[in-house]
Amino acid sequence: MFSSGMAIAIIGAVLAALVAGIGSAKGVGMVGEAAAGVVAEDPSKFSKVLILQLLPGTQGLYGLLTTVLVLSQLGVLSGAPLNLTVAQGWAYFGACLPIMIVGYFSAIAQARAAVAGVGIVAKNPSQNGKAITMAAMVETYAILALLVSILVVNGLK
Amino acid sequence: MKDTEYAFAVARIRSNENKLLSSATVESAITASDYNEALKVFADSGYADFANEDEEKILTEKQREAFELIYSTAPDKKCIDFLIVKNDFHNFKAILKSMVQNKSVDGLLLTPSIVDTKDAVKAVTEKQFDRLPEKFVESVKKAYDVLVTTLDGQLCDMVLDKACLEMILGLAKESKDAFAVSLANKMTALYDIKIAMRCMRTGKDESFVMDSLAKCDVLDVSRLAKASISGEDTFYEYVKFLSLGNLAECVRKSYAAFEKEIDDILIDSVKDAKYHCLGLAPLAAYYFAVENEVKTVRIILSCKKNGMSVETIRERVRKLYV
Repeated sequence: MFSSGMAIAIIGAVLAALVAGIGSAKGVGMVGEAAAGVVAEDPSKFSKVLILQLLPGTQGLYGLLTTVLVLSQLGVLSGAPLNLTVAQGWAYFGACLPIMIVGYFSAIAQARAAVAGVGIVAKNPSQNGKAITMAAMVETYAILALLVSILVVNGLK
Repeated sequence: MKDTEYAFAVARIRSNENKLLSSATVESAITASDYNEALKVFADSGYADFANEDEEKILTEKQREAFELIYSTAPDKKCIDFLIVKNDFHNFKAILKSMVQNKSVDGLLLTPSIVDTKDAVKAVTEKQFDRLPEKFVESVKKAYDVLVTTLDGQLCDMVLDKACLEMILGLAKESKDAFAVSLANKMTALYDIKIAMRCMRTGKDESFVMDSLAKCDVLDVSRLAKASISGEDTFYEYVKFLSLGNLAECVRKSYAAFEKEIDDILIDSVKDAKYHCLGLAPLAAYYFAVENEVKTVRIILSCKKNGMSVETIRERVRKLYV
């Protein structure tokens, strides 16, 4: 039987993958639509727009990484769950918040930047490096959020 | 509608923008030694091979293809109706006048249009106005009544022109897109000024001018009507006050310069869409760009055919989107 603290911590861990994953799915889908528009006119640009489409997908992976880390630390994966107090449960929940929230919004923001990049590739394919760089800048904030989540989770050991 | 739903459409438009005429090609065509040389410039640039087909047919097809592209990709088809509704009103004018004069309407109708041209001809010639979409019924019926009662084509045009401007603005507002509403407001204002100038030149009275103008958010129609009956200087001052490009200066130049300035102001207004990566703006701007491009090619070829000077052609050629 799980304690209330464990339930709160598990909800936090699941939401980290869920919310960041929704953001990534929305983002990758949005860039995919734009990429399809370019490929419909010029199939040779497929590889260039594919990189842009992949960029907003990383936030979902960061969410998953945080979830696995938390679940592993809670002993859920090894089948020996810890007995957490409510306060400890909320602490794990809080640790998941950075990647949960920043992951979602940065995936959407990165997708918009990537869609603009797809426009650059459509008009001037030789400039795709710049398009990728501009969209990749948004990644910084998702990485920072992941870092904060990992540091807090590790600090709760 | 969310702007993100336009991702596919905008990407296709961006790809197609590469096919628009460049200013270098237009300049080469303007400075071409003669008509055949200008045709060669357009063929070499990959724009169109006018040698093997009727040029008018090619240009009409270009416009139809542009509309087909934005229509097939736009997530909400109704949002783009405001761009083509003027063709419908042109068609109604042509059908009504041909009907009264007992002439054929062949070759006078424009596409793309909201109402299929065959349906429009059938509904109007058989006086079955109710067969038209509801939004057109009242204005077409009114124009028909005016034309058969007075046999005055100008009055008929006045009814339909006003209805057209009101519908452009109404359809843009229905789309709830800020870019479409702003563009439709500007279009309405510019065409209102054009109507008012025509009224000024033909000495119409204030009530006639007021009846001809459509309300919009850019200008006060009653002030415009008053300015148009107060002489060219007052009209010039009011247009200058509106700060619409060089339109005021063009009031004192030729009618051709005035019309060119209207097109240039509109193309300048849509140029902002180059920086929109999502939404309706790039689609509307692309259609405007193609429309302008077709007009430019038509002007160059027709001027070259008539042996006009490079300076005259340059004065008439419209600004390009790219």
